[in-house]
Amino acid sequence: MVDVCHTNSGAAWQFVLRPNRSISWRGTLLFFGSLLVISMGVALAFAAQGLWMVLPFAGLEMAALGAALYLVSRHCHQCEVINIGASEIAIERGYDRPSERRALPRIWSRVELLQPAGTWRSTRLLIRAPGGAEEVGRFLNDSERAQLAEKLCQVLRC
Amino acid sequence: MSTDAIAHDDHHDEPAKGLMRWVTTTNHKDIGTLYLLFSLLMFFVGGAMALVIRAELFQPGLQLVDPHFFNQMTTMHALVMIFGAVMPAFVGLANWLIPMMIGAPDMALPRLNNWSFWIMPFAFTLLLATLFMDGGAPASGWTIYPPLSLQTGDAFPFLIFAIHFMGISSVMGSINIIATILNMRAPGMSLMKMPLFVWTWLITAYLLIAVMPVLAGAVTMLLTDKFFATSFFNAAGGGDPVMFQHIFWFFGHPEVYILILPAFGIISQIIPTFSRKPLFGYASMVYATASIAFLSFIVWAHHMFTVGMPLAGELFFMYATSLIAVPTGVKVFNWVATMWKGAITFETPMLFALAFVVLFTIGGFSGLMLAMAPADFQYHDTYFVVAHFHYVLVPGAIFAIMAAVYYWLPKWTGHMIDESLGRKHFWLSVIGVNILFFPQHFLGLAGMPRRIPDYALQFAEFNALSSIGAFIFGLSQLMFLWIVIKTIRGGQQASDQVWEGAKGLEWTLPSPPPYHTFETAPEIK
Repeated sequence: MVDVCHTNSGAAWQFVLRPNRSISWRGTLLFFGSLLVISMGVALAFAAQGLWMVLPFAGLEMAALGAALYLVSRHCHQCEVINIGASEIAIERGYDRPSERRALPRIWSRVELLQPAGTWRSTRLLIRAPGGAEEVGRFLNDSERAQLAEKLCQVLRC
Repeated sequence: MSTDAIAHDDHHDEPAKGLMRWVTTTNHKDIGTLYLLFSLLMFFVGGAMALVIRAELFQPGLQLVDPHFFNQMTTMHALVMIFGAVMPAFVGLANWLIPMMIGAPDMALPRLNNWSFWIMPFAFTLLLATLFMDGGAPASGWTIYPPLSLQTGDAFPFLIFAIHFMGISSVMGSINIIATILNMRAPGMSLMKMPLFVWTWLITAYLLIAVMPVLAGAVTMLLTDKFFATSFFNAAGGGDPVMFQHIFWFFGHPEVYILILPAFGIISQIIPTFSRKPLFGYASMVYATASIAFLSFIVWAHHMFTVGMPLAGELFFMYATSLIAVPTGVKVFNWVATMWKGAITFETPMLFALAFVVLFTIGGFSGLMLAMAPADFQYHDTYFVVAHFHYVLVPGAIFAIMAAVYYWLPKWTGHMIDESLGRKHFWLSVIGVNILFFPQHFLGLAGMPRRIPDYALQFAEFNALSSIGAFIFGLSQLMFLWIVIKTIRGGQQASDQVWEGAKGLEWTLPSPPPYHTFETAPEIK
């Protein structure tokens, strides 16, 4: 999913890229919490009757479920922000907040949409500058990547 | 918009060639196919065991097998059918259909998906290998009640480990299904827009995760009682064998709904298609499914009314069990209301769905009879119980799976099924299943106990009839196998929509769908 924000008088652009996610983190926590309460409640009730061996299995299972939901949710919370200013292109990445920043000179930057090598491979979108290249939008699908490439090209006049 | 989640990075390669494609695959369609083929194999293995049982019971006296082997057959038949045939078939259907129904490119955790399938063959190799061990396979019934189950020979630890592996596989599958449904729905597909099959699987996965640790704990305590001198269920050491019954059925009753809720979802997809009407009461179907799941946690002791419990307990479990009839009734009413004034046609999937509605309802009514505590004292551990749960599981769960295969096989293979053979298979199955199980009600009411290889002469006619039905039903499933093979190999080209009244995202894809689907998420209105 791509959100485009155009600020000032045509000089600054912001593209916010996020993967699709159909549930919020709060929703995930609520779902997990409800299962945690039921599963551990049942295990504790049996433990109170002397059948404590349910407890470690319930704990292990909840840990596995929690880890799986966290991993998928974290993947879905990736974010890339492309800020195009008057002189530089800043690409920030992170989960919810930026944890990595890379800057390229705007004037030398070019956008390249590389076609896939095989039938099952995806396109790749690169912003290339003399100092190197930066791939963006890995988690987008092909059509979104093509739209983003087109928009970036318009903005950078490449 | 992108629907890519975890699946995105791993799934742009062409499938590997040959055997390794199936071993290493992380593609939901491949894994769905593996689950369904495994389930079909186990259906025939478990079916062969059922035919041994019915052949022995064809007439009074001991003809073919000794009583110990007979008990091994009843136990293994149940374990193979429940954990090897029905559950994997539903997981296979979930793998094939859920991503396509919600507009996702794959399951959320594809590698986990591969593991959850490949654990199964190991589990069932362990289980079936017990048939050749000293002391034979487990013979204490699938409920493995102690102290009887503790008398099992060398097979005992293998049984426990096999159950653990099956449980791990089920839990991994459920985690994947939950993560997929929660996170990977296409934009616009809110929870209340999901197809009923997806809803029923979300609730089934929830139930599975809630109860599997109970089974794992229970069987581990049996193991330690046998080998490590604990006394969880050993009265001589201060334990309580009745507690095993409580803990087993606390798992076992939700397990029964795990075996039937996805079937409700399948039927809720098929009936609207062939009635050419939207499903009547979608929201009430969702709430009814959730209610059934909730009630499944508070009715376990109706399996053990005769074990001895306080009157208040008997009353509570009797009333709670009776309550299940309400949401189940809502479902049956909605299916009938969907058909009401519909432009119904009777293709093979619809025939199986209709038989499901009628015959599952018969199983439900006999369940209500068993729920009445005073009456249950008469029916308990008789063939009436055998008739009841087979009506729920065979023309219930298994007919729903067959309906699903006939319904979606053209989508999977790109070829229409042989409708004429399909109808013949349906009629042989429906006639066979009723000849097989309906007389068992009368046997039970007359007092014939379950799990016996020999019986009194007054039960001879109904048993002979039941055995004839078993062979009609069993052999007619070879026809099912042939239809599946025939459809895979060729046939009339299926259109994308396949069935005129079919609605849903999977029907917007080509038949067969490409190896990767919905890399670009569809728009849901």
